[in-house]
Amino acid sequence: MNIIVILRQTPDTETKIKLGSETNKIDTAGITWIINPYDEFAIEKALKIKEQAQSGEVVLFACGPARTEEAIRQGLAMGADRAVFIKDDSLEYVDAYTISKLIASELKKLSFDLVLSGKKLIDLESTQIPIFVAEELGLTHISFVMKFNEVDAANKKIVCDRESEGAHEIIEVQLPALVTCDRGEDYPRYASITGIMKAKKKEIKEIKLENIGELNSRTEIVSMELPPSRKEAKIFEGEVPEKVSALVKALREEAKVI
Amino acid sequence: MSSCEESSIRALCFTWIPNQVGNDRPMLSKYIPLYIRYNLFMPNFQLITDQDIVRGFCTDSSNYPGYAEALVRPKSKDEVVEILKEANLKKIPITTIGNRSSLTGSAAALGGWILDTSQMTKIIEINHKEKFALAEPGLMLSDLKKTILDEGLFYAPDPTSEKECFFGGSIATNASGSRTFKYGSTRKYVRALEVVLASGEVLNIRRPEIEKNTFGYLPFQNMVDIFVGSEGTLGVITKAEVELIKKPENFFGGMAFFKTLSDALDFVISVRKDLLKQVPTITPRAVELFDHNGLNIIRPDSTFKIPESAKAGIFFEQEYSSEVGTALGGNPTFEKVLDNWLSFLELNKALVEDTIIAEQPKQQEELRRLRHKVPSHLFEEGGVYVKDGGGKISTDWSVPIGKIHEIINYAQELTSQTKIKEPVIYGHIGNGHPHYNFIAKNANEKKQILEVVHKTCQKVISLHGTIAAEHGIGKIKKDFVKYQYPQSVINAMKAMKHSLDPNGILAPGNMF
Repeated sequence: MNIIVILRQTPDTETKIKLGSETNKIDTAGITWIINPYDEFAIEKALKIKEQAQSGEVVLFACGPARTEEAIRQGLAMGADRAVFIKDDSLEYVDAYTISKLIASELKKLSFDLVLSGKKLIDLESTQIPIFVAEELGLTHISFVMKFNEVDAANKKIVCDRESEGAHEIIEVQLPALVTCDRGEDYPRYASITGIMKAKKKEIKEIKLENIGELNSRTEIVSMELPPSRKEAKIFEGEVPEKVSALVKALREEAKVI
Repeated sequence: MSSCEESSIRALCFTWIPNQVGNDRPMLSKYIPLYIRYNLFMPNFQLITDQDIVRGFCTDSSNYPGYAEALVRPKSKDEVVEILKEANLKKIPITTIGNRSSLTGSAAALGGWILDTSQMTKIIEINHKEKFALAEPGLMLSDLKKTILDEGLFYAPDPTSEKECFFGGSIATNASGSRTFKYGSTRKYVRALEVVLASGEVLNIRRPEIEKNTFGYLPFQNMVDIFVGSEGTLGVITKAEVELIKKPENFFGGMAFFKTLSDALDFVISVRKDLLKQVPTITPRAVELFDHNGLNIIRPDSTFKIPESAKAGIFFEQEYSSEVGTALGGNPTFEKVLDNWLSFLELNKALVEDTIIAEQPKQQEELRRLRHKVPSHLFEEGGVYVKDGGGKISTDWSVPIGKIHEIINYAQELTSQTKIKEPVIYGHIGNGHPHYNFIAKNANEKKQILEVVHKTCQKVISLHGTIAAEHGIGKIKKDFVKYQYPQSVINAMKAMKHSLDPNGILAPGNMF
């Protein structure tokens, strides 16, 4: 079973986002970059499938600026076999449509049974890229999959468990197909020290942007703004009885809730 | 009438001031109700005498049963001075408390007043040029550290309870943590203190910056070190200046597994030997142990695989810089340092294929969380048996690293002669300081365990160790003091306490 995992790099979940000097970009200085957490779940699922099948390979596929290489190395250290990387710093600010066009144009050249990716990107809250890729390639796609109930490598068939609106949909699909992943019960494995060392020697096939097409974004981020800051909490000073009286007074007279 | 009101009235009418230290029960010889006496005649500070409130402040994480007549919460040094003057005059015991995360009962009052430092929370200065922070004692240590980190500097002490302990408490107990392996304990970072003595006198003391001094007994040449770790017995810390260092650029965490506990201990001894080299192979900042029982505690929660064959684990953290390191230390780059770790682990019988590395922040946090899970799990497990006279019994001894095999073999041999459950051995092994913690199911088991602990502590001293490496003595470890110091030395300490606190009002019951 040959599996491709599409991954992106996103700011760490603890990052305090700051706006850049251009109002349609964020300030990337000081950001710790991580593998998009849902893509990490996809890598974990891919590695588990490979381990169960005891054959095939897991190929990471990334399309982004040069810094993305760190995320690729982390994925390789987890146990993926090799990577394909469309690398260009101009890919920092292009839309999902363009990225998926680029990915699809290169995926066409590879042989695979299954394409996995995260259910969404945590930075832009976007779910579009893998779905666009599937459409572009004419692949069956299933989104928000929690787990694979069955992987039948011999008959090229998988059974997915998809959570939707409080229910579980069990979907059987013939491969090849594209699946976007939720966490389910899969915690991404830690890289082993030997895994990290081996990852250094694994192949990352770099593809130059100029060899595959032009950037034609159909959408553009015109401006960004931070959400309005929350009103500061009111803290009452003094001893407990005074504080309670002040709180009751404020609830009655200012908040008018009692 | 609410129970709270009832209780206030009870406190008003029936609680009386003890007339001397150590006399911890209400004295009928003082016929003025507490509330009236305290708050009519002492206008400069307010005493809380409602026992419903006071009782909530009477014990600490050791569950030692404390009690007090009143709670006082000063907002400034001047208020502390007023309180101590008044208490000293009337010989009222004062137990100063932080956030009461102590494991020894040192924050559990034995009568008198509880002096709560939680209202003194100012960060007065963070000085980048001279690299220090000056702050009041009532800040949560993790909040202070976070503020310092956000300013690009680093306060190194990292007690396990840093999210639950106050800055002042960490100084009064000379707290330490996993990174003490590289950075040392709190003491090393305290540059200056403002302390209010029992008499109300304010001492401003500073660690000497001179390199030569031949005047006076050594401890008195540097009074800061007398107050650090004094468990509230000598004065009340109202301000502290601590040294800050440059924020480490990067670090990774990791967990290595070993087939036997002995292999893990050998690994730690090798790390210490390696550090003595001019250019060490590895320079971890934390080296922490999990024995097989410790591994079993974290296994259900672990998001990484703990191999079945592993009988011990070592959690470690290693710093590295983004720049190429210099030949003489510094922090070499990630790949180089990881290469060094790999060869070092291979050489020292680690299960290399299973050794995991936590490079991402959330994984690093997860490893630290698992490390912290062991004591909290034991605390909960022990709590179940308290009603039957059992509970968790923790040890805090430490030996020079070269003696670690000998002491663990000795303690294991003693334990195997009883029918008590195996202890969990975990913690700061890099400093020769594993916690060797038992769960007693009942009073009979507790008795047997305490016998083992007493014998182990005597052996620890014969191996030139200490019975209390980081928790202090407080009220529950006093029985062990006699193993470490001869009576004459203990008397000398008492004499010094007496000279600074002649009425013995400060933290009665702690240490002695």
